[in-house]
Amino acid sequence: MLRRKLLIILSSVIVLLMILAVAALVSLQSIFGGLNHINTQTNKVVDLANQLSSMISRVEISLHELRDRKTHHLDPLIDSVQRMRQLNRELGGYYVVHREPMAPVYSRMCDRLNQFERQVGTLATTEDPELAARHNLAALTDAAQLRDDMLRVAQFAHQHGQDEMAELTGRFRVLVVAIAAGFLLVINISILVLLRSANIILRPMDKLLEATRELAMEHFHYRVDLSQRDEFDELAQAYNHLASQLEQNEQRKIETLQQVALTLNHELNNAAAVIDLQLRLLRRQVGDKQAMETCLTQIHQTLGRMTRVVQTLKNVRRIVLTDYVGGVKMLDLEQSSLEPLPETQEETLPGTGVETLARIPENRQT
Amino acid sequence: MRMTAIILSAMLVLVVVGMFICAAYKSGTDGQGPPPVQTGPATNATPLRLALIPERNIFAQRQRYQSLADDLAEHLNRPVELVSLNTYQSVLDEFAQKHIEGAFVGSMLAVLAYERLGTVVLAKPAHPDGVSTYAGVIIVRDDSPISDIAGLAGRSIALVRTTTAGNLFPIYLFHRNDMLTDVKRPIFRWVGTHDDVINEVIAGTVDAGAVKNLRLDAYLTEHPEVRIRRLATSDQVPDNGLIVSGDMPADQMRALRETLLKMDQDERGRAALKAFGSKGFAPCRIEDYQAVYRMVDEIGSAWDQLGVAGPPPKPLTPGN
Repeated sequence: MLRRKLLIILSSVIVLLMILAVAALVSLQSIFGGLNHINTQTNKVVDLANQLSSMISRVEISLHELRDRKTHHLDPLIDSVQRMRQLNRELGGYYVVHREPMAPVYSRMCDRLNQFERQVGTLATTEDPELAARHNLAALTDAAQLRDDMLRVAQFAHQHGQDEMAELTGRFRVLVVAIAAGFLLVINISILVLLRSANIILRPMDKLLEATRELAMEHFHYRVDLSQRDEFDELAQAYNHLASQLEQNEQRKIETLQQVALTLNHELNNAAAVIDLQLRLLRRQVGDKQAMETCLTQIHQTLGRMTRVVQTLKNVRRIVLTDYVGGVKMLDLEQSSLEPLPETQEETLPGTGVETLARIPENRQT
Repeated sequence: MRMTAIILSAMLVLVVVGMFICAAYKSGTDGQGPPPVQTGPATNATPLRLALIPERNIFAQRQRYQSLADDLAEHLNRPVELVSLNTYQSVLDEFAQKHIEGAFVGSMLAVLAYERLGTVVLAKPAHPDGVSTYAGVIIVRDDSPISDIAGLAGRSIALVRTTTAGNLFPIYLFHRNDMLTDVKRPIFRWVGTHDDVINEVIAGTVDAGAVKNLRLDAYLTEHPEVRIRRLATSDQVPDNGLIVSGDMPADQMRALRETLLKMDQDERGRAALKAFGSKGFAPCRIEDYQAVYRMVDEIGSAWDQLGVAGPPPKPLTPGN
């Protein structure tokens, strides 16, 4: 679960970065594509206009050759006119020529080209000098106007290219700023997300460390509550289970000790009662003999002490050990029968050498 | 298992991102495809050079014949090259100089080429309406005061040299009406094509025109608003047929004729014929040009008025 959380968080950050990178790349490509497009369009339109102009010149040369009877072949002329038509069609494929104010110029150019073609066709075959002169003049006029129109188209294409270039440069500047801002934003978001991811690990880690310390101090009642469904939660539950097990083990020890104490209490009380009864009877029979009386009193006192010890053993609330001899520990009955101290004072009793091992819960007391 | 899924997911993400990047790069570049490949004749054989006369708009005319030439090249397994000439007369020169092996020519040129160069007529086009002949017509604008041939005396008329419709027929008419004298003689304006005749008449730069009826009908179909009056119509003569040099080997001549006559029998040929504006080709012989011979015979010495270099063709005799 924790892996999935971390994977989702990291993936989100990576995906966010990638989306931004791709968006930046697409936008930049769009700008560069636009620049390339402008360059291509402008150059092509200018080139086509020049080629058209050149083709008109070729048509004129072919016409002169035909008029001068240098040739009877129309094919070079037809080829030039067909090429001229093709170039004009290509020119019409560029949107620049269809934009205002070039659209009417281009439309007029197409009409003039058709007129020019008709005049050329007639001029190439007519034999009548008067008609030839008339068509020649018309063709020359059309050619001159066509050249003017082509020049205008080329100039407009050039100007249009410059305008679009300026617009694109402005867009490029805005895009660079936007990309920089976008990356800064994504980096900040990434830092926040990574900090949050660190908390997901560090917070339960702190709680578990604290719990481990408590366990080391034999505070088996300490529990960890994480309330998050992940590996840390599983670890906390395992810890709680371990603490619970240890607590139960300790409790069983105390109970066993109490049962031993009760047994001792029962057996020693019976023995003490018999001895006490026999001592009373012995005192009545002896009468008033001073020395015997003293001896019996001492036996009686010792018996009483034994009874109190047994009584005390029955009241053990916790296991408090004290030094005996040779490093051997023994149960401190007095301390063990006292009520437990607050947790903070329970570790050791300073200056006494007394050490608390466990305590019996309130509900277990008998 | 989980690790594999993670690695696969990461690879998928990388592939998607890679595709994005490629698409982005592609979007930024203008695709410039290779130029279209132009197919040409498959063989290196000497091209069959066929001449075209300037019957109509010279640019449209070559396009019209190009489909026909392509189909011929396919069937003959030999490239076919079209040669557009600017005058009808130059066809004879090209034949004489052996620059061409064949030509699609009008009836008068067919007769002259047969007479002077010994060419052979192979076939003539058959149009969708079943017509394979044409006639010459003398036309004026509908608003013209000229009502008959006699009314053309001293008026300008557009003619097409070395053609039956645009040259022989009007001279024949003027000869019959005794209008070739200095006083009554119309002013001849020699234009290059039948389409030019129509254009000049409509433009009003000439009073009348002598034109091929098929071109006139086609023009009037395209321009129904134009009103033209016909003053006279000639006899029918075969439409622009294919003539070939008499030197052409017989097998080649036969193959060329067969290809033309069977062109309408396959899909590709029908497509070529459709682009050409015809439904097929019909057989044609020099005897089919009797109307031309008759007019030449009738004008007699007035042949010189035609402006065609050389003597008139001799009448056909049986066995020719």
